[in-house]
Amino acid sequence: MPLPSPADPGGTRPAWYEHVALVDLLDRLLAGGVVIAGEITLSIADVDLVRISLRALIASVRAAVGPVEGGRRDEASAA
Amino acid sequence: MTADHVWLYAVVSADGPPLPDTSGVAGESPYLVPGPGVAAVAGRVPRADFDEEPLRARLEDVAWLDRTVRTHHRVIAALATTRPVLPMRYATVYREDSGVSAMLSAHRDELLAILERITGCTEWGVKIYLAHASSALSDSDSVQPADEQRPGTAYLLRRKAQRWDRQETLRLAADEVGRFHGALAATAVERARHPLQDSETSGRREPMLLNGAYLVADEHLPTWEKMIASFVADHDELSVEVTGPWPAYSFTDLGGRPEET
Repeated sequence: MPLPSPADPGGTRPAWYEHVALVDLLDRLLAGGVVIAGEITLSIADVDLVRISLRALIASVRAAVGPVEGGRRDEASAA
Repeated sequence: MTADHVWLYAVVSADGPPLPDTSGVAGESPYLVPGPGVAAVAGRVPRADFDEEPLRARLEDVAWLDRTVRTHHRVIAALATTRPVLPMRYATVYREDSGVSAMLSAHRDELLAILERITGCTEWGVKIYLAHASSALSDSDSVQPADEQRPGTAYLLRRKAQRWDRQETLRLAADEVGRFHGALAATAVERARHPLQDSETSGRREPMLLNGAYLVADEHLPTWEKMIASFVADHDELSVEVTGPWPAYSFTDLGGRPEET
């Protein structure tokens, strides 16, 4: 899902503005956000487990589609 | 104890507009838990799935994880189009609204301070890779000892020379990227560096040199975009990916700004 952008309602950003990927969510949702211990909270070990599982998922999806190489640079040049 | 637990998505100002119509990690409609000056955006989720033990079991279900991580983000991103939002860490769960209210009261000042800091800003991600690394810098396919009568020495020498090149190229590129990160950071309100991703995670063979996050004030966004466009135009040897706008996930540390690493 492309993130809605108040600054860019027409969606005119150059091609190097990408759509949201699980790998970037991983950097943010599991490492960022306000951390206040809830009454039920994932332990550090749980979070590591989640990270490992999602990385494995990402890698398996990558393996199915094949690695990206150079293509995005070309898109950026064309934009 | 009720049949439901309370999953937190975000903290927002208490006097914001109505919540957008989205569904949460259990398909529920998020609601507001009011506090003093701040409010939590929460969802009622079944205890049978979200109590400590079942939640832990769920964490081993990758499809469930994938779905809930994306949904957690989707709720936060929808909120972020209508007001400043402090995203909560994935999987912060309370047993009752009263526990959430108590948390809001206890952390009111810090939450309000961060909300104020991120108001009028968005987070942007910048990832930079050394492009063409596989052809120019590969240490696998292009160097094969098969074409030599005595592969040992020649192979090792070529390999060594190439490694020296690789190290040197990486060092120069990392310096250049470090300077660019500094320039971006100077234009941003705050900045952070996420860990560099390995190839398996990034899906790219080229080495990653930067995985930066920047909190950029709306009025500085045009300048910031121009800086990136000009860097991209000047650096054929680097591959740049920009992601965003993000809710301020990387800039929500309670009790302090994230330090540069």
